[in-house]
Amino acid sequence: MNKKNLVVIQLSGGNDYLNTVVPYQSGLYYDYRPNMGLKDDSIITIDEKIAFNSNMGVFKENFDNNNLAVMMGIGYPEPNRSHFRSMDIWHTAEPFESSSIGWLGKTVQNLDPENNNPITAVNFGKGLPRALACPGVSVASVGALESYGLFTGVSGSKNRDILLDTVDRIYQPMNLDGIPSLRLLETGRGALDGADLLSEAPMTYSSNIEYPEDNPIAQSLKGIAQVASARLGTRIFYAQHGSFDTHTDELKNHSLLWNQLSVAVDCFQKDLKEQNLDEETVIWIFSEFGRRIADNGTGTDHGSGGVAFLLGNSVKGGLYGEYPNLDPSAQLEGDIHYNTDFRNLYSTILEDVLDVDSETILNEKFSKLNLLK
Amino acid sequence: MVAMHKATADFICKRLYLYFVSEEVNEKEVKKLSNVYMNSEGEIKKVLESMFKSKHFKSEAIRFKKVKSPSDLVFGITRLVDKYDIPNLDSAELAVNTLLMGQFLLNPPSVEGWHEGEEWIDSGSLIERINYASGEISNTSSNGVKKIIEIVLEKNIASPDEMLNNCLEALGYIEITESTKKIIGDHINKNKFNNEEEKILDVLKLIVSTPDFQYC
Repeated sequence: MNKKNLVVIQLSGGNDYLNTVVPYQSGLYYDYRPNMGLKDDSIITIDEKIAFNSNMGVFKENFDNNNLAVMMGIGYPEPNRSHFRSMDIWHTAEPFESSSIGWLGKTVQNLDPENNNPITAVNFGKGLPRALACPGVSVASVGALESYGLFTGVSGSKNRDILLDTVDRIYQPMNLDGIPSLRLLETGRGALDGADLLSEAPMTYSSNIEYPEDNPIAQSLKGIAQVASARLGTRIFYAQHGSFDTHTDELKNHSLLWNQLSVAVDCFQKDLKEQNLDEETVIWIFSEFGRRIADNGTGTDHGSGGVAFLLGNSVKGGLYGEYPNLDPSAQLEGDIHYNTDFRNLYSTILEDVLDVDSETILNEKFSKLNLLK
Repeated sequence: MVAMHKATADFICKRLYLYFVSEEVNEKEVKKLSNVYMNSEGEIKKVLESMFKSKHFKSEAIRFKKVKSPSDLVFGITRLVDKYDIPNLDSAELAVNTLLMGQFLLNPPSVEGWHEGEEWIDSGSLIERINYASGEISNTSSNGVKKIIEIVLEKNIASPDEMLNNCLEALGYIEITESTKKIIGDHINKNKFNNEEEKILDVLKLIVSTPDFQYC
């Protein structure tokens, strides 16, 4: 069996769960959302109780093909409505203590203990998510693949090589005689080694799929397809989409974001098939939290509990967990109660997708969900 | 009422300390600032004055310990190379450059703001930083670069060490570690250059590419 690769799509800002997977038969939903409730023309029903947002066409297709697992009511203990703290909890898998070490960074260390491959994990976009941060672990962070590399503006390949050679010598860990941090040297090493490998990826890639230029998440997924198709040993790909922080103008913005994502995922899945990577790629989509049950007139505010998706040919499709009860007596201060701990999903991803012992990463054994075929 | 609470003083002074001095909080120094705040009825000017005039602010302990934010780096380099006499339409590119390094000015990724300090630097942003800084510092059409070359050429640059030290001085008395100095020295010794200016430009490019240069 081929090793599986993980593609993470982070929905930053707090995706509104209730308008993503809609309880369209619940009177309470429409009572709480007189302005933001999605009516019949804005949903695609998937069973007699719940529906997808109508901008999630490709998700419905995948659901029908039994390739989409919907994890309903996923969250963490003692919900925190700050983006900052909440995203940290998802990134570090530490709900109770503050940490700056990312769970996927630790995973990279486990997958590549000798640090042989600087592109075991590749992040697309500006800024490395804390999930991938871990001392001693180099992770490539790419804006645009085509222009990735050092001294790309220097004329003459010989001049460039000479400079690169010297910079390569400067960024050696043993040069830590006064530089405040080893992390910076390691980042430099990862950048230098990773850039050489990654710059070749677009040259070997060819595809009939046209990703829309004006869709940022589609462009990130295209970059992921390029690197994945070069088969350079990358196991974790990371991309971000947003902002889902829809306090105002939610109907328009939330729809647009899901439409972009749906189009992007459609291109990406077709491309994976063309590159013969569709069996080994698992896409995981999550957000730091859901939003409050009641709308605020033009949008929704920060809430707790949310929805996550696992997507791919090797995923056992279906609905997992229970749709949270919206009844006032079942609410958590106006939010839904989570019913699946996010670390159950993490342990599933670690063991069944990445083939890593989950306890070493999560410091505790969490039962797995039966999500993979 | 809130403004004159001790907790407000501590909070504001800690933030000012983190911004201007170091990413590692020195509780004793923050306490001193906090006292200035309370004694001056919350006058920030007095707090800053006390901070900048303190021995601690000028001490070795806090020099080159703070990671430059993308805007620190971009605006620092721009001033160094004296690229603009007055702001013009092209100067908007400066904001594009900070964006490429992970800082979209006036638009942080979330209400939390940016992850600062070491988290400014990942492999992608480090590449952007080095490419940007080395490109600007070797662009001889900038007045500042011409001036730096002039200053270095006026001095004795017969040996690689002298050349390097003069370049560091001309860039604003920058400090780099001994091992980095040695590697750049080797670079000067080992490679052939058509003239002294070419040599200086290579050294400038290398200095701004060092890990040391990422700190202020």
